[in-house]
Amino acid sequence: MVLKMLTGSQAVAWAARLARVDYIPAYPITPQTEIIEILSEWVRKGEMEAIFVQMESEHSLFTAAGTAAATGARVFTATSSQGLLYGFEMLYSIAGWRAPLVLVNVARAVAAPITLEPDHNDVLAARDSGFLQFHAENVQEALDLVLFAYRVAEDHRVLLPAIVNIDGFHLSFTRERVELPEQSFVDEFLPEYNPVNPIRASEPVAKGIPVLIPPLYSFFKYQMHMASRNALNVFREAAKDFEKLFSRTYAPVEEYMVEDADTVIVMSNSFASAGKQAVSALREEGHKVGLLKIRLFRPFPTDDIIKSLRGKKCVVVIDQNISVGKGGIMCPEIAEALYHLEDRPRVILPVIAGLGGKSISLEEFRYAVRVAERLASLKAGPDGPLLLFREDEAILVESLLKTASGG
Amino acid sequence: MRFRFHGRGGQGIKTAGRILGKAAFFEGLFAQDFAIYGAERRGAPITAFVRLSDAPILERGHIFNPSYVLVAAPSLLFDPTVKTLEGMVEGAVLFVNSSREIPILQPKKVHMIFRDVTGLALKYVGKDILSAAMGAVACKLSGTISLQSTVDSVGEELADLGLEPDMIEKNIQLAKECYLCVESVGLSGLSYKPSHKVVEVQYLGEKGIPDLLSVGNTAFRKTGSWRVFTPIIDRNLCTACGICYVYCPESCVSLDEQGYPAVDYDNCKGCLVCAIECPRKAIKTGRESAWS
Repeated sequence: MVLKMLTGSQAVAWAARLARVDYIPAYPITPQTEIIEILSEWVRKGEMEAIFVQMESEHSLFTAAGTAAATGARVFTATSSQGLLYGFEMLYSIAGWRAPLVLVNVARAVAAPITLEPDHNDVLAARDSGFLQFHAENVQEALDLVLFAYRVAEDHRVLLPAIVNIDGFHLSFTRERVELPEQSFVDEFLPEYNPVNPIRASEPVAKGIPVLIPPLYSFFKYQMHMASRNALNVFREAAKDFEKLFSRTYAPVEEYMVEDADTVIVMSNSFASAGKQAVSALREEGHKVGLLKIRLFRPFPTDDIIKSLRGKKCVVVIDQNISVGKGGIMCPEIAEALYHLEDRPRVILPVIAGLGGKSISLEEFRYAVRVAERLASLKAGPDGPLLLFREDEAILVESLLKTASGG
Repeated sequence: MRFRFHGRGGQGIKTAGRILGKAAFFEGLFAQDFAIYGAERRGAPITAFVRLSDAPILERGHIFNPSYVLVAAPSLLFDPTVKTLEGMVEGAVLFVNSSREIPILQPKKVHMIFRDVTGLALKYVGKDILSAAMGAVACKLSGTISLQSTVDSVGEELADLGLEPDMIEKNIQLAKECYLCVESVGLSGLSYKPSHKVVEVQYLGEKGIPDLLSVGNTAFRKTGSWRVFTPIIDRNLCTACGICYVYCPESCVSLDEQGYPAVDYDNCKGCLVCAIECPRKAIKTGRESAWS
C-alpha cells in the first residue's frame, strides 16, 4: 500500500488501471476530461495495456463500450452531465445486453442554464436504466467503489453495468490523501472477467434480441430487476473480502451518529461531508442529529435504510437534484421504504439543496432540522419540498439580475 | 362483438378493420379499431382488431376472445407463431379466404365459412388487396351493418388513403359482391371463460439473459407461405440467360449445371420480379394453392 495525494479523477483512473481494464472508449467533457487524459497518457507510455480510443460522441462511446463488454473485454469509460444524456438511450441497451462495464459519471448539473458544478440530476436520470449506481463521498471511496463496481457488476448473479458517481470539481479536481491499493491485492479482489456468451467471430451470438411478444419483454425486464436486487448481497460479500485485503470496508449505506439520533439527515455523494460536519456542530448545540449516507443507490438498499431510520422522530432528506414539479428524486424512495413500519418516523421532510454546486451551509442544515422538529411537534406534514437558499445568495442574485437586465 | 382479422402486410388488413369500424360508426354503434403490425414488413403477419358495442367500450389492445376471426391469408392457419384460432370458443365464427374447405383441427364447434375473396378481388380490382373485401364480409357477418353503411365506409376509408375515384369504385363493387357472398351469423351466448393462473417469475441467472445462441434459424422460417402468385418456369421458352437469377431480390432462383433456373418454392415470396424481367416471357404465373 502506498499513500498518495490524488484528485478524484486520478483516483478513478488508478482504479481502472489496477482493474487491468482492456478497453477505454472516451470523449472529453468538463469536468471529466482529466480522467481520460491520464488514462490516454498511461496507455501511450505503455504503463497500461488497454486500448484507448477517442470516439466522436458519447452516443458512440457508450455503444463501443457496451459492445466491447459483450465480447468479454473489461471496459472502463467516463462522462458527465450533457454527455451522459447525449448517449442516454445506449444506457438502456447496454443494461439490456447485460454487459457489465463500469462508467464513471463526474456529476455536473444539467443545462439550461448551463453550469459546470455538480448536482445529481445527471446521474439520477440514469436511475431506471438498469445500471447499478455507486455514489462516492471522498477520493478514497471514488477509487475503491470503481473496484467494487467491477466486482459486483461482473458477478454472474448480477451481470449488469455500473455507474460510479463522483461530484465534479468537489471530488474530481479535489486532492486528498489516498491509500493506493497494491496490484496483487486488487488482482485477488477482482478476478479476471468471465463473460457469459461473449460475442466471438467464430461463434456468433445475438445480444438484446428483439422480442415482439410482450410477455418476453416483461420477463427480461423482471430478470434485470432481480439481478440488480442480487447485487445487494454480492456487494456485502465483496465488502468482506475487501476488508480482509485492505483493512477498510463499505456498506450500501453509511451511518454517522445515527444510533441515538432523533433526527437523521439523508444525503449522498461529496456534499455528505458538509452534512457530517453540520451534524457534529448541531450536536454541540443540543440537537440529537445524525446522518445516513446512501452509497449504493441502485439497487436501492431498502433494508439498510429501514434498519437505520425506523423509530426516529424526523428524517430530513436532502436531495441535490430536482424533479421539477415534484421535488427531490430520493425522498419519495426513502418515504416508500419506511411507510409500512409501525415505528416509522413522524416527519419525512423533503429538502432541495446544493443544485448546480451551490454550497450547503451550517445555517441551512440547522434550518432544515428545525423545520422538521417543528413539524413533528405540531404533528404536521411538510408543505412541499423545502428549497434552501440564503439571504446573501438572494442579494447576489438580485444584483446579477439587475446587471443582466441592463439596469 | 369482437373481430380479429389475420392477414399479411400489403393485403389491406388494417384498412379492412377500419372499414368495419367506420361502417359500425355510421350505424351509430360504439366502435373501436386497431391494428398491430410488428416490424411493418410486407408479407409479415398483420392482425387487426375491431370491437363493436351498443355501450361505451372499455377494452383496448389485443383481442384474446374473438367472436369473429377473419383470415385473409390461409397459410397463417398453419403458422404456429400467429395463433389465428386463439381464444375461439363454441359458437364463434371463423371466416377463411379460401375457395375450398380447409380441415382445421378445432375441438370446439365454431361456425366455419370459406369463400375465395382473392378471386373476387382479382376480378374487380385486379390485385390481391383485400381491404374492401374482408371489411365488407365482416360487416355482413356482424348482422348489424347495412350494405349502405358498408359501401359508404369503403368509399371514405379508401379516399382517406388517397385512392383514385375509379379504383374506389372498383373496390365498392368488390365490397358489394363480398357483402352478398356470405350470410349474417347471429351470435348467442359465447362463453369465454379464461382461467389464467398468476405465477411469480423465477430468477434464471445467466439463462434469463436475452441472448440468442441458436443462430442461423432464419432458414427454418419458410417465406414461401407468403405467396399468392407462383412463378413457373417454362423450360421450352427459357434460354438460360440468367436474368431471373440476377434479379430475384430474395436469392430464391438458382442455376443448374446447364444454367437453367430453378425456383426455391419454400422461400419464394411470389413478388414476380423474375416474371416481369424475363425477356422471353418464359415465366408464367399462377394462383397459389401450395399453402395446403
